[in-house]
Amino acid sequence: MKKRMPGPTRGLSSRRDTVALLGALCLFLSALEYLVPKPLPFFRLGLSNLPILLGLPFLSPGDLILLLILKVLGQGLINGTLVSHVFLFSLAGSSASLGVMAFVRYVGKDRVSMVGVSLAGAMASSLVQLFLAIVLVFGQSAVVIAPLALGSGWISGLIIGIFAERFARSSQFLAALKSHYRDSPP
Amino acid sequence: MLPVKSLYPLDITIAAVFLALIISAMFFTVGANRGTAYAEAETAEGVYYLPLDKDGELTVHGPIGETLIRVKDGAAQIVDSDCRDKICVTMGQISRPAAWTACLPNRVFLRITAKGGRNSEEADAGAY
Amino acid sequence: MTRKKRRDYISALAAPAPRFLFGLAALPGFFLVDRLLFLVLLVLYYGAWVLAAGKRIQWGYFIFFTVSVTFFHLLTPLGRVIVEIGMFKITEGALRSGLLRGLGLTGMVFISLASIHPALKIPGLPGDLLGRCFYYFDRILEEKHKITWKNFFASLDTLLLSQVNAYNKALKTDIAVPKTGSLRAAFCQFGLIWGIICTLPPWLVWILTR
Repeated sequence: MKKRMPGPTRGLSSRRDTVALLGALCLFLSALEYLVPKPLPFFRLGLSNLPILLGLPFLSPGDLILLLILKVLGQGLINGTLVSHVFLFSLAGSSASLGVMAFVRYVGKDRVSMVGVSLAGAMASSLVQLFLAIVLVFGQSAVVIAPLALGSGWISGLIIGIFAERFARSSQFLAALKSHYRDSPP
Repeated sequence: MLPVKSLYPLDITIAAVFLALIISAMFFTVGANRGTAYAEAETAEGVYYLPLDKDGELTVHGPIGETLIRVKDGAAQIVDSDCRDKICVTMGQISRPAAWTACLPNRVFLRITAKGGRNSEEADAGAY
Repeated sequence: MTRKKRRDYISALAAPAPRFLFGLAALPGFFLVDRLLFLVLLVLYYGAWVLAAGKRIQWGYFIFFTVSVTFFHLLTPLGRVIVEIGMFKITEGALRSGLLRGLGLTGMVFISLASIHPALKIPGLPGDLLGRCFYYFDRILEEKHKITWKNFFASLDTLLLSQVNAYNKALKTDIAVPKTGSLRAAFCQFGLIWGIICTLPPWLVWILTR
């Protein structure tokens, strides 16, 4: 792994390649989630947040933002929702989530697991999206759905956190990716 | 499943804080008497609603002509009517729940519903 | 997860960039339309173009979406009462604003679905990296049969690990842009026909119904 061929990376360092691969995982997981029937019409598990959660401990802040952009733009292009309110919801929710997750990790350091980080991120995302839904879509009467929206956010945050914690502990892929990232020039 | 021992106190704290937030959101949305009062106009054409928290105008038609209702700064008023005496216009603004004004010749009855009445009548009883 | 390739007729009319820009230009005009009947017609019109783009529409989802948006708007009564069902009043103004919002957002998604082609070039570093990202995405999709539900994370891990090890062998790829004759390619470059199809109708409706 130490020997890197120049390769057709189109001027991208292989450190950025790590971000691209994690971004691809986001897109794959979001496509996968599309296939699984939803228990509630508006309920989403948010599997595509998993790679961001996994990258949080080792990616630089700039690369994390890049990963977020890849996830949101990639979904917008593949699903074709780039110029619709769906894109705005996704961008706002993901950004809030990343910001809060980075904050929780920064404050909690090694005293917080993926579960806590994921929960906080999911709640930030749910709150922002709920706010947008009330202002842009449903109108003020929709505050009645707040407990349901936040409750489902809490549950999905917990589930994604458990997935991430389990995956991070056992994954050889993640270990290889981490060492690849650390060995590569920024 | 994830063994509980791999969770840190901070994880539990985060989970608990947000759970508390959700539960309080539940009480807030169920228990709170939120929403605005409405100006309810009974007319020959039917019943009209105008929220008091939004300025607006409404022209309704009665047996002798038009009646103009205006909501401004949280108060409703009949500002013009095709009646002879214009008593309704001189009755002025109403804004308190259960307050009313009317243009009887044109069969327009305007009253304020209780706050939080929203799409229901249940709160009206409390107005008296 | 079968990605059935259906024919995208719009790609013969416009390259991804003008296709996107004309879609963007249609949006303000579309949101200015405030006649319900015309709005419904426009939504169906763009729905037809989504199908022409070879994409599927989940009608059930969009109907449910519009109905639920309308329902929440009805909770705040506005204007004349049309029907009263028990304590629930359906008012003219609320029904109108709810349908306008629900149909408006549905139409916006349809315009987006019709005018976004995955090969749309995004400028700058994110755009460059997105090309790599799509490359890996396709690689993962090619090997998705190696993933089993029973052993989901372990099999996913193995698949991803093989991608890490394949880093240096990676070849440059781009999403295939449909090849056309040079005259047609030049014609696609401006996509004027798509401009007339996509951008003109809502603006025309707005001007005529103003």
